[in-house]
Amino acid sequence: MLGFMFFGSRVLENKFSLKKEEFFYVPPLNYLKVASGSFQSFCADIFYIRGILAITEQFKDRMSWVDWVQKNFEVATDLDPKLTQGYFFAGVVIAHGEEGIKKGIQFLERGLKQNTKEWQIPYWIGFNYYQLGDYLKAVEFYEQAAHLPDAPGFLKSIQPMYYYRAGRPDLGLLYLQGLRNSVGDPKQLEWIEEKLKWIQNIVYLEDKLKQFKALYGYCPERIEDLKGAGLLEEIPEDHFGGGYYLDTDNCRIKSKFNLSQGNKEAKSGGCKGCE
Amino acid sequence: MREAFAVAVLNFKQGLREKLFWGVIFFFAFFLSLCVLLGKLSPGETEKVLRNAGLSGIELSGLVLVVFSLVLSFKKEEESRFLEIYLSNFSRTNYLSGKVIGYLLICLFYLLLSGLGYILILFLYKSFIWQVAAGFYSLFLKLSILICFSLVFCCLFSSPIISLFCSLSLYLASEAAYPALKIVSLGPNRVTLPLFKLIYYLLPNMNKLDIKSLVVYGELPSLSFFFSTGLYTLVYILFLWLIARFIFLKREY
Repeated sequence: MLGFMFFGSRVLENKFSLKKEEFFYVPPLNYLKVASGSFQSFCADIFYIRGILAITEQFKDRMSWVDWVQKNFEVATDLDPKLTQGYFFAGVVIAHGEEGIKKGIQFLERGLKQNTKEWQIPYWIGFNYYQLGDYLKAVEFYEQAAHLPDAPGFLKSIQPMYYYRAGRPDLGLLYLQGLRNSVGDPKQLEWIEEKLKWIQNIVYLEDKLKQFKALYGYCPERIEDLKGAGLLEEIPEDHFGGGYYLDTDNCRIKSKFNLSQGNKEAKSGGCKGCE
Repeated sequence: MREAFAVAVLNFKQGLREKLFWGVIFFFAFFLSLCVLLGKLSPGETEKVLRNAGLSGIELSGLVLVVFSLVLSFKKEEESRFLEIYLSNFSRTNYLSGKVIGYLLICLFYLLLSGLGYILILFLYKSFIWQVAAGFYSLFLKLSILICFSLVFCCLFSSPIISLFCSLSLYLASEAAYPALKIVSLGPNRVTLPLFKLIYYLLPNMNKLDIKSLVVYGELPSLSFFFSTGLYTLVYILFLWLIARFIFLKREY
């Protein structure tokens, strides 16, 4: 009989492949709250697990998959707003492509309203904006994250870099000057001074670049041209990056800080100073 | 009082001998392994899910244990001649008091046993925080009220099925009362709001008694909260015991 049961099960398994329709449904939050009572947090865990399992599911349409995963995490985080990792999965892990990242940002911003004290959420929003190339927005959220409890120190140190990438080294300079006045730890002061020098030079060189443009009405081809025009005695040394250069595409002073980016720009002809 | 304790000890011993008690223990052991699986399925939140699922499991299995065990034992004593023997030796008041105390002891013993298993699992998976122990206090308060409600229904109805359904329905109603009240207060129809508020305050306030969602994150309410909830439960139990006693004294056996 045991053998019959075993083989019977195998026959059923192999012979009949039923095309069962999958049912993608998340109950309304109000009903769930009433039904779960004081087990709301446990119910949230169940939807969290459902969300995790949904990540592995195959969908023809990517955005429908994003919607389905986010719906599960939305319920989980609404029932228990402290399920911080739910925001991470729904807002960062599944967010790919411009549309997906924007959806991720929407999800995280909703989570930020519910959970105002978790530094991770504004950090992840900043990360998504960074992926979209909106550095000023990224730095805005990193700054928000940096002021929340338990936020790691690096959140304060990366902001000047984003200001620089956003084409606003002057804001980065202001930020670092403010930070220098608020920090007492000698080790932290050391790296702040180093970054401060680096960004000060960029701001100084950009100022000279503006003067050049005002005098001659065009962008110089090389950073050395500023020296040739008598605006600059010497090109400052870049202690933090690998040397300053002129990006002729945007007519901006840059640092050979990111080698891969530098190479890319060199290949595209953007970095004359890299040659 | 001595008589009441004698009845309580008898009920406690009888309760532990019941298959239901060990069945619930077995179920809880199975549930603990499910908790481990749930924890593994929750990357990033494993510890919280493990703590939360365990406490929820203890509450649900404790609920099944106290309600079913009390209702069935009451019926069994009524159908056999045990009740007559009890009532010929003890007063009705002492019998009821003993029943309540006995089942409170069973509940406490169950919480102790399941708590040990739960804490062991938490230790094994490095998820233990001492705050979860406070969760047991709130579970005990919730189950204590439920024991007394079941006793009232046992005295009120001769059918054990009706008593069971009433006890479980009351539990569900008191669990759902808070979110229901919140929804009604946010909705457009505010005429029914006073009625909902009345029901909410009459039913045991399970929402306030429950601190599972706090302790799993390592947070604890103030000391005055523990004192207030303890006092609230004591008064509630006393009130229910008085109702049960009133009905029990009126009944003929």
